Amino acid sequence: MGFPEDFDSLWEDVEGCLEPLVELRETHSAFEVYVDLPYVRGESIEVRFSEDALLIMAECSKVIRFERWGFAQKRMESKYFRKVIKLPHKIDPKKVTSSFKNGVLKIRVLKV
Amino acid sequence: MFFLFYQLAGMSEEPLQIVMKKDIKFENPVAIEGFPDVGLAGAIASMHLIESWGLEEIAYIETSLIPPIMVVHNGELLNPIRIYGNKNYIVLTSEIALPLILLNSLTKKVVEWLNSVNASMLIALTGIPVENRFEIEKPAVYGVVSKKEHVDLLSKHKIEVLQEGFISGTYALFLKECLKAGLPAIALIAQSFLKYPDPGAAAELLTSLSTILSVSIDVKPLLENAEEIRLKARDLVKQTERVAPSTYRNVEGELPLMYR
Repeated sequence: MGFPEDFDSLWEDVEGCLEPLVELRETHSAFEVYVDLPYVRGESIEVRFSEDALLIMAECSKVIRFERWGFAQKRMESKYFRKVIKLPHKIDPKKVTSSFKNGVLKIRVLKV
Repeated sequence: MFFLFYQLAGMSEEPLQIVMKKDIKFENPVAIEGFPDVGLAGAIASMHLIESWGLEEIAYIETSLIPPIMVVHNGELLNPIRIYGNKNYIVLTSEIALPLILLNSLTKKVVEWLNSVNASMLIALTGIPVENRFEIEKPAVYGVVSKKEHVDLLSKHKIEVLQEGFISGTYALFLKECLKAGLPAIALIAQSFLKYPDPGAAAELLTSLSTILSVSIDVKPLLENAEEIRLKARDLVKQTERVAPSTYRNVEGELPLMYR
């Protein structure tokens, strides 16, 4: 099951979000997700859960600009991080704890 | 078929060379290696050293063992694996992850060159991933020495020295080559994130380095710009993560079979 279509936050309208670096750890009873969110303050993080995935969205305290070279030069700027993390096992969205420290978000969610 | 053989034969003769850009009269320089590895702690530390000491690029690595990549900085074309320095210090850094196929030739050639310029010591800077890094405010720094006689170098500065265990990756090869070549070498290893750039770990490496060398290294700008560094280093972390499993960093932390 994916995320509901009717997400009503402004995040859905944001294009060109940055994808944060993520580390997923699994124990026999839970998943721990660590998300690197530089330039993000704790109050601007939003996390949503489905039965087997997490959606992490965060607003940076400033606009981030990148100049990238590929087949063509591409300038990118964004103020948002967004990442969907698919989990290999169903979770209980009611059994979640989280903390945010030094720009790293830790989410612990129990498996069903 | 003939062409392929010719290419391989050519590559095996000189797969890698150090190309000098400046003529420096070295005075027993200390070499500091900070190639990309776990948490990019060494790479971030080496780049900070280059900037804060105002070191110039003195040489670069030319090799057919990496993809054809060049770097552009402020309009200037640079090789991705570079050597900076002055008469007293040599700093090795790279803006690309180093593939396994390159490591043996690279470490061998660099250590040969360091001996030829009468380097006094090599110090490798790297990270070791720890599960609870999220909870750690001040990452610990450990040391590994190429010869037991160098333990004092670290213990007099209260750096805990690894007594048992596996080491692997670029710094392990550097220590091995230094041991063979008789060049004193130590590795400083900071507790680090595995999958994110870790400027905090880099700062602790530099603090330990400054005590060993008795020189001042200002890590304040590094910590103040930590968020910017973490953003800029995202792609290099991903590259390094793709390359690192093939360097067996996952065996570190396991116990070797031999016991006394």
